[in-house]
Amino acid sequence: MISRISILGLSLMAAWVGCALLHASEIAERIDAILSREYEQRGIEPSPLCSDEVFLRRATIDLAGRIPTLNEIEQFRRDPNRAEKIQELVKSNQFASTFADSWTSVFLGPTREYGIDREAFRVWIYQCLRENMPYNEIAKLMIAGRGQASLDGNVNFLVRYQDEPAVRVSRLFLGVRLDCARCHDHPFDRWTQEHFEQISKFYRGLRVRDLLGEDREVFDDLAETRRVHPSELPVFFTGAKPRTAIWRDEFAYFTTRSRPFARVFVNRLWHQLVGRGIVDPPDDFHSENQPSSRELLEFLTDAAIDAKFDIRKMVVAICGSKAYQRSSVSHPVSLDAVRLFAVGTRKPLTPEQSIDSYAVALGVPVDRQYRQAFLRQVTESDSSDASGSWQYNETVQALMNRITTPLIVTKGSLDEVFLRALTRLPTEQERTICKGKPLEDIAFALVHSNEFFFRP
Amino acid sequence: MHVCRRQILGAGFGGLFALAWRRKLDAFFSIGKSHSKRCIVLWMSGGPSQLETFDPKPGTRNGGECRAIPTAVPGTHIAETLPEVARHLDKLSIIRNLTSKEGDHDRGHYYLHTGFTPVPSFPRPTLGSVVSKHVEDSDIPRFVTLGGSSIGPAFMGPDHAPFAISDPEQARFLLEEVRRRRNRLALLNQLGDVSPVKSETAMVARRNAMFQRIERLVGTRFVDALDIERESDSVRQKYGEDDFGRRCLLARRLIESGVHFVEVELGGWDTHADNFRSVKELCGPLDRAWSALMEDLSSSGLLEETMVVWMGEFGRTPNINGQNGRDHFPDVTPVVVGGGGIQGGRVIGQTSADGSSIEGPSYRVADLFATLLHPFGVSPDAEFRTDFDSPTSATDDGKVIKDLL
Repeated sequence: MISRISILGLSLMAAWVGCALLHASEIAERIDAILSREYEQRGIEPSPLCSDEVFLRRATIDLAGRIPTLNEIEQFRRDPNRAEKIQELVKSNQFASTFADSWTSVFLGPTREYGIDREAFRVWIYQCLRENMPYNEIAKLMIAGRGQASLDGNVNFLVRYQDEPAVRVSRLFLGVRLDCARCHDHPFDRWTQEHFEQISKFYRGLRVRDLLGEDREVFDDLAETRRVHPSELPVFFTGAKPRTAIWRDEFAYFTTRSRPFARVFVNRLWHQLVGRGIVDPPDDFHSENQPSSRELLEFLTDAAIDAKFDIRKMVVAICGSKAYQRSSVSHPVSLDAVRLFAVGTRKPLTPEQSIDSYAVALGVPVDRQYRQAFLRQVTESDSSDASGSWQYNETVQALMNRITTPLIVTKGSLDEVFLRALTRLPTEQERTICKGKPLEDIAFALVHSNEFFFRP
Repeated sequence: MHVCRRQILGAGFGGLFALAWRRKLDAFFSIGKSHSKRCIVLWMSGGPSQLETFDPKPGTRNGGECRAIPTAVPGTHIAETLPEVARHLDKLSIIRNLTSKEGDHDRGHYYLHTGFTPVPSFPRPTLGSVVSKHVEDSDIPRFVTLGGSSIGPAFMGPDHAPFAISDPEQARFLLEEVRRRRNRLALLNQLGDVSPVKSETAMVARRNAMFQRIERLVGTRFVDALDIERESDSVRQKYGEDDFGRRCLLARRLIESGVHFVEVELGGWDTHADNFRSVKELCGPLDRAWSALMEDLSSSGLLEETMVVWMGEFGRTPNINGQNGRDHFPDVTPVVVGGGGIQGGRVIGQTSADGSSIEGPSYRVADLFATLLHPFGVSPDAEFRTDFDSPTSATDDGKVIKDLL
């Protein structure tokens, strides 16, 4: 009996150590092995891998925030090495830039809000990503940041949600929607109003004050937390109580070391890249919203912990998997196939990705001011609360603004216009339709097509 | 929050309960025809003083220099600043006993737009979006804002976002630009039909539908309605050749063209200093445009199905401050409402002689929203679904103000 337990223990150890040494490509292989087993068990026939053109377009949009250039298309045609392409993309500053755009929307919401320095937050995330700061460190700085909104970009998260930081923190970092627990126990899960009050307590010392020039400062009122009677201290889920007066620092530490935190991290990355979460929606983990593959989620969670929350490594691993590279299909497929990523998912370009892709398609650089104006126009009325979801939320007015945005077309052949805009050459049918039509009209029709707007 | 509690109960009964819920939801949507089809909100940005408008206190220390004048309703007096509106008071009712709890501009703005106090993690739809959702769909935008910043549609969805017009010329230009792209849009459709990369997801379908909607929109009366130059000089003068006058005239034209909800902004009511002169200046254009609007709506008969609401973030302190101004005073938040099935000529509630408190019963903002939604067939406890498919109610436990029906 004892020996059996110890053997089990040893094999678990081995798995642990094995995991620690996994290379990104090995993680990708394990992802595919897990999903293959799922397909076998459920009799799902996964769709084949996508073509090189589609892969290039997909990966470039996801990792560089824009469609590929003519040069990149040509290069990749000569040397279609997908693993190398992924490496090249994540090393570029554009990777940091596009992830910073997406994460700003995830963490601060889709619209521009008064009272926060959104740009400072974006620049802060951008710098974190450039340095490849581990995700748990990034999260800690958001959960327990302090400083000046214009200089310490991270604190804008707390400025934005100063009224109820606990709700956002639980949702974005733990996948728990305490929103309901604000006034009653969570209807489907173990979260009670008491949990909500406990977590909220950690922020009792949080203060935000106005500074000159619309700036804000986030700081702590330690007098507030120090004078609390020990019986009134907040309690971690484990039952422990904070040992210092800076409660939210301890809260950040505990949160980012918890397994749910790691699960939510990998699930969010997966959702962002693949287009659908293993738990979906990605910020709603509860007992009636189970992961589509528990094994996959747990494996990725282990891998992320072992990789010390190395964002780039996890991105490379996910993009290197077949699950990321499957082709999307036009015919209807079973919900199981969709939930287990047996087919590629198409997702709308974000406003940032679309303006940067127009620039590539039309061969003209977009200046900063023009870009900001465009983003304002198409996101102005987006008040959706689904942080970073892949829904298509454009309003009629925003679409009108989008299609009337002046776009200059440089000269080029029909083939070139197609290649630039859609990463492919026109079909015979398309050639016939385009015959004799002004180049501007063709370019307009291509950059506003569904093929352009939805990432393949 | 009893709705939430019901939800917990529901979890226990599982599917059956959910089904019953759906039924209730269906029943609510099938409520028969109601009076109101349209609504114009005159939004007094900054928080209008009740003492210099609809609740004057002449001869008191707090009342200041403003006098009261009689109105179309015997026994009802309002401030001398609004002589023309006074003549339409038989069609409008004054709520003098509405109390709010939000004395900050942003929070008050949110509260009086949604009927709920702001919770950043739980965005609520603005009144216009709720109305938009509950009227018949058409090619014309259902909800338009003229100036100012409204609140978004939240879980009513992007189809119920306001069509925001800060400058009508710009809006016309936008529609014209879309129209100019007809050939290009036709080519877009043609190429879309033969595209080798087709997919029939709900998102693609919605986007295609949006393109069709845009193409239909540029051919509707909405486009002409935006052009107030089509009105005679005398009509334009009647409304006033200022921003607010033009916006009110535009609001009337939009309502006539089929828009269901128009919000018109008049800013400048944050009169912490020099209250009396400022309010007087604001009331000139307000009086002119609002009375013109009432006159036109009632002579065309549209007033019967068009609710008109006058409100802002909050009222102002009865006490006059050192700068001859009035500060924020949510305790008394003035609202005037009429048309579209709302009883006119009434005065609801009263404030004390010095205006410092409400005497007798008072109403909450939720009650106001219950009343405003009622003519649109939305009951105060109607259940909505949030983006996360969790149920929530139309108002924060509001009760319809029966005296207004």
